[in-house]
Amino acid sequence: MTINNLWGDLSNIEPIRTPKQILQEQANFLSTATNGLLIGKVTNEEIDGDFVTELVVRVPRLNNYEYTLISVFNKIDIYPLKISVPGRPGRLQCDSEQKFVAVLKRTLSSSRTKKILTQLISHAK
Amino acid sequence: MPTFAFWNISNNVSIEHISAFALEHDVDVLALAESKIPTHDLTDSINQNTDRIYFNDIGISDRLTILTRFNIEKTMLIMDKPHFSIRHYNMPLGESILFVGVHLSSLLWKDTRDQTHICTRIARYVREAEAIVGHTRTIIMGDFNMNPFASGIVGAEGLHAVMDRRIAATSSRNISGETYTFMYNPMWFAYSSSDDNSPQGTYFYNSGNELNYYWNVFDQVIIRPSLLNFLRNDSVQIITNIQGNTLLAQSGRPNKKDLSDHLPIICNLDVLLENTNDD
Repeated sequence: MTINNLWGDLSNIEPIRTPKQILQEQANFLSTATNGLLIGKVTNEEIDGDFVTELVVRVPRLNNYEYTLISVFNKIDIYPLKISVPGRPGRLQCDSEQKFVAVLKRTLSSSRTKKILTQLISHAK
Repeated sequence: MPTFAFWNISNNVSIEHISAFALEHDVDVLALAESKIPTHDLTDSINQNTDRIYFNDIGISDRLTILTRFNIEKTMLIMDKPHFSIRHYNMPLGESILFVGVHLSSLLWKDTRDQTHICTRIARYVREAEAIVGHTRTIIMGDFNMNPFASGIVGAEGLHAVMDRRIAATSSRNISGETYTFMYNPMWFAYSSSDDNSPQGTYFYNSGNELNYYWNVFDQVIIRPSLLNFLRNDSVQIITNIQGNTLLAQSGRPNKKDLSDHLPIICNLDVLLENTNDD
């Protein structure tokens, strides 16, 4: 009996970026942009089949105080995922990476986030 | 004797009431939920009537307002997560304390499974904070939007807060080869009140459903076994009046029209003497 490839063409599979990778990129930008006064950090854990990824700001000069800017909740199939931002009730659903990045951009560049970063940098100086 | 207090003020309690509450009970750490009052206005008001002044917390907590009379320069901010804040307070007398203020979302926004997961995460971050400060003199206080019997509160993967201080005093238990440390939840006392005039919880809600608890003990104090020796039987109280004025409506339920739908809670700990209960 001939063994056939039942997989089809696997050569064009492109891995999608996980929320952790996307948040890590932004964490790195924060650390660089603030010359290390604020350190961006990403934590990732799995509870009972749910993945929770957080973008955290660490302040070395405040005894490594940590403030969580964004929490992302997803299952193994990543999308749809949900985002939770402190100060806002409920979770916002994103059905694709494009939508997730758009929400992330809106959140990170918001006046609220700026205010928080200003406050943290002021205490760190 | 440090006193910790928590009150979900439902955006409806006046500065005067909060000040009177803090001063009457000689509160050292005050955590408020659902407060839109500017923190400076609050401290200015309270400090007009006391020599031991209150400081604003410099952390960024989105769901809690925290004030303390402990020296702010000796306060260590540990972390602010979406539903809880962790601080380390050095007290003028005795040992330091790790304080965790909690305000979890109501079931309007989260389901029971989400709440249980959040408790698992709180427990993990508490352990992380305890490792940072090097002790387990931890007090957790706040509005959990769950009763003391909820799996997130009692379950080993959650806060693992049991009702019996003798069990909590055994420190931990082993489940399938893993060690789970205990916490003690004194709030079960609310269910044993035999006084008809006492509330049977901190929050009243008539859901109209077949399963209807009416009274809920959503506002809770949970402590590590390390603090058991400093917690007397009457250390934790649900407060029902401030300076002689009741916080209850005529129905005996929280007066949510003029005040809050939650009752405040306080916890007094005996002075923690040095070199005690280190783990």
